[in-house]
Amino acid sequence: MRTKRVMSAIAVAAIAGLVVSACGSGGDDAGSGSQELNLGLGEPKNLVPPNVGESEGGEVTRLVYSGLYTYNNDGSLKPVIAEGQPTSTDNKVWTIKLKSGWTFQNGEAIDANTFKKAWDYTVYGPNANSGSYFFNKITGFADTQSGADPDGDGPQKGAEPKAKELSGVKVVDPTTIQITLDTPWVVFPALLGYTAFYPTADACRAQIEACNEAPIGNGPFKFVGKWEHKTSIKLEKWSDYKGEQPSYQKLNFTIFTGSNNSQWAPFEAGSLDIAAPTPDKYESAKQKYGDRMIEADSPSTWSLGFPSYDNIYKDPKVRQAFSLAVDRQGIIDAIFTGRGKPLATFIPTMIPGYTEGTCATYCKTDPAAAKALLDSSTWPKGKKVELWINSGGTGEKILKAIGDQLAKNLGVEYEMKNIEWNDFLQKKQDHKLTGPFFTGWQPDYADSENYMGPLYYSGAKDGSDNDFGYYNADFQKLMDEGNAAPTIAEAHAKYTAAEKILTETLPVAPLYTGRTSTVIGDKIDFKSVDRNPILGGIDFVKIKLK
Amino acid sequence: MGRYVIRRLLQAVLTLSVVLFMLHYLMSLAIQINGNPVRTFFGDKPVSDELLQATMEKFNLDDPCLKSVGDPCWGMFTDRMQQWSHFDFGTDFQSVKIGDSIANAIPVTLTIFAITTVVWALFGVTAGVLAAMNRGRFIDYLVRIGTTFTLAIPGFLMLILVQNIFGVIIGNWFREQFGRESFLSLIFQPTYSAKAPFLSLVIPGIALGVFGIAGITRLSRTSMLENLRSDFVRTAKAKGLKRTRVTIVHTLRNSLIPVVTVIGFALGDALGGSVVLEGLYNIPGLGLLAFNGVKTNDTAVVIAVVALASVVFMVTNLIVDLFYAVLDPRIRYE
Repeated sequence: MRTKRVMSAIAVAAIAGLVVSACGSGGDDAGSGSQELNLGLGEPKNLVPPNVGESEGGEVTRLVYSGLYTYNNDGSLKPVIAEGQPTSTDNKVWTIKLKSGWTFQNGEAIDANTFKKAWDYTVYGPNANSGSYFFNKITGFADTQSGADPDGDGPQKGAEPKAKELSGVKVVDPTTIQITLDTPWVVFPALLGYTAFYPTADACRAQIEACNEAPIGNGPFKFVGKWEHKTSIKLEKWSDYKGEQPSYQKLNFTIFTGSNNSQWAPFEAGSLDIAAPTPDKYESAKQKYGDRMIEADSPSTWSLGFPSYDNIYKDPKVRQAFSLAVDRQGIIDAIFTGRGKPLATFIPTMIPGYTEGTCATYCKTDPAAAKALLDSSTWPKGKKVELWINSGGTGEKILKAIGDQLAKNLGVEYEMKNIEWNDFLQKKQDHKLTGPFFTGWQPDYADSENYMGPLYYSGAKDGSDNDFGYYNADFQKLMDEGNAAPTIAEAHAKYTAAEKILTETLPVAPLYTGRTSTVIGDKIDFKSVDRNPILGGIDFVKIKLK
Repeated sequence: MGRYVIRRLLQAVLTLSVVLFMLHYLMSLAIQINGNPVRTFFGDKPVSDELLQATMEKFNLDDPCLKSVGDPCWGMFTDRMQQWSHFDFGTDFQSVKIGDSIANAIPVTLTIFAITTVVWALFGVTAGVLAAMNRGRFIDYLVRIGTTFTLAIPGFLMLILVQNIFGVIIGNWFREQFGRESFLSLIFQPTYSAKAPFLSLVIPGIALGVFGIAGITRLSRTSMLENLRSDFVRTAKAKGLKRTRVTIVHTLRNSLIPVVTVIGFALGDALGGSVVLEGLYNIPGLGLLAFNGVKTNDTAVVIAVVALASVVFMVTNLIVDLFYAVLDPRIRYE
């Protein structure tokens, strides 16, 4: 009996061993001293440039890849691989000259053909690249998209695209690319600095999954090893880079997957060199690091969207009354401790094409005028306002504050409709939201057109092809004229006129732009910090370490 | 014992299938009610139907059953099980192999669990035994008040305090005194560090251990008290055995049965990971993996992680049951 118990003890230990044996992991060599920059980052979704749609992926790809252009701090194009600015005689056919001698980090040469092949891959429907819509004004884009699903309801795949190549992109010679648009558009060059237009190597597209894990770039930095998912991304200077080289050797991103706020403690402990304080630490951070804190307005705008497709909100007077009943500064003070800026335009200040005070009439707080407007509108008395929002974000607090202000200033009752994010987005797109909703916009390119065209321009007369169900023939006409204008200045004049129409008919009530605060650690020479107000990021190549 | 083990394993397989299907059903239901998670990839931006469809195909979320509420989506379930039979757990929304993600997360979570268990075994059981041996005296009251305290303070608050006091304030002092790469600097860090995977987990592991310690301590104390009064302990004492031998071999060993059960259950829980701890300390463990999977509706990740947790839970339960036989001579599985 004694032996039996010993045996079973051994058996137990053996089974336990099976479970536990996966233990143990390798340590990295402890990097030393001042030649490396340590930053925090959220887990990127993707690192293949045409598929990068969010800021995390953008931050890494802009360091590992280089495109034709990047942006100066005023939003204008700064040539990188391109030689000079894009040229055009009619704003329809654009010619871009390239510098020669550029290569990828695997030695592959970069010429006009590289870009054509990369862009053909980007737009081809079945590749499902999230950046493909940047190309939708180029001739032949529609032919590269998958057709509609035969029975409209899966599971069959959509029809094969008609074309594998984007016919509007031509290689004239190895250093010249020609891009033809469907219609003239003077703003087009503003798109060219975006990551969707970055080149990818043949070797990368041949094994796109592998290239996502260990990118074959052409930028100032190259990958060390692979993307350690949810843990880290390690970069080092690529010494064969033809453009501006960093003055230090290594850049390490530690990936944070928990709450967004978890980067502040490691910054205070010196493991990160740049970080944003959490809202509750903001005041103490300002006191402690005041002269090393950069505060800047963000180019993202936040608004209260109206369902113009809904009979009740069809009347612009209702929308104007709601806009006048909202106390924007009050919301910013209460929810962001004053860190934000009320919006009295549709375009934020740092964007080319911004004009001051376009929405001065309706983007202010005037309860008396609001009440009068509502009384003279088609608003059904006693109707409960339904406010739609995705649950679990700051938006809930903001919309609740707006609801309270509407109740106080207009005497209406309100009800919060909190739903899941995917549900919210789908209902918004399907015009199923039955009341005002919270909506945000992050620009794709630095031009006032981007804050209006993609959102409120409708080809259909009932506005069924935008989320707001908004249609206005005058607005449409002015946007068209702006797009076809011969110069940027003339285009901006038209866009401003179009914006004026929006400020009177209010498809959304502009609310505020956020403000970011970033603290720069003492390892970094503060004078070398150059923050681009439009990209919203710091130029890590220019940073100098002490 | 062999037949007993086989019977238990067969039960486990049945339980696992039910768990897997329920999870699959609930996750599908979430998509059917809340809409396709692929839509969130594009955020507030308008997206063309073609691009949306192509993206759904890419992530295998284009099955029409995901549009009719209540549909069990059998096709998707059998496809997934077939994949699993080749040990292919699919990829997540980041196109990362889920098998790799889990393999990376297991050692991290197990390290935390190991540290926590050591804390429980060393301090929890010892404190419980001491309290029982000194029943009604100062040390007993100290242990009882102490354990009440650890239960009373909200865990989240305590973790934030630990992070700021030990990770930032004390840690920074060590870093100034001994340099950034010194042993103490690496232990006292506010977040997980890939450079020192084990050392940076020590403090969070201990902190987590302190929370669970009340249960273990109280349990060992009660269990010890019960056994101290039992006949066989009296007999052992009457035989003139040494006090330490009576305490450790005769009393403690028998008192450990409930304690082992609790630790076994805790391992199952631990494999689910502590979401709060891992989130705050940015520890790339299983808890955060599952949490982010649930947050983004990434069915493949959630099912894989929970399946793993259930397997471990069932295996540990089996081991716990077998351990009873080792600890208590009266229990046998024939």
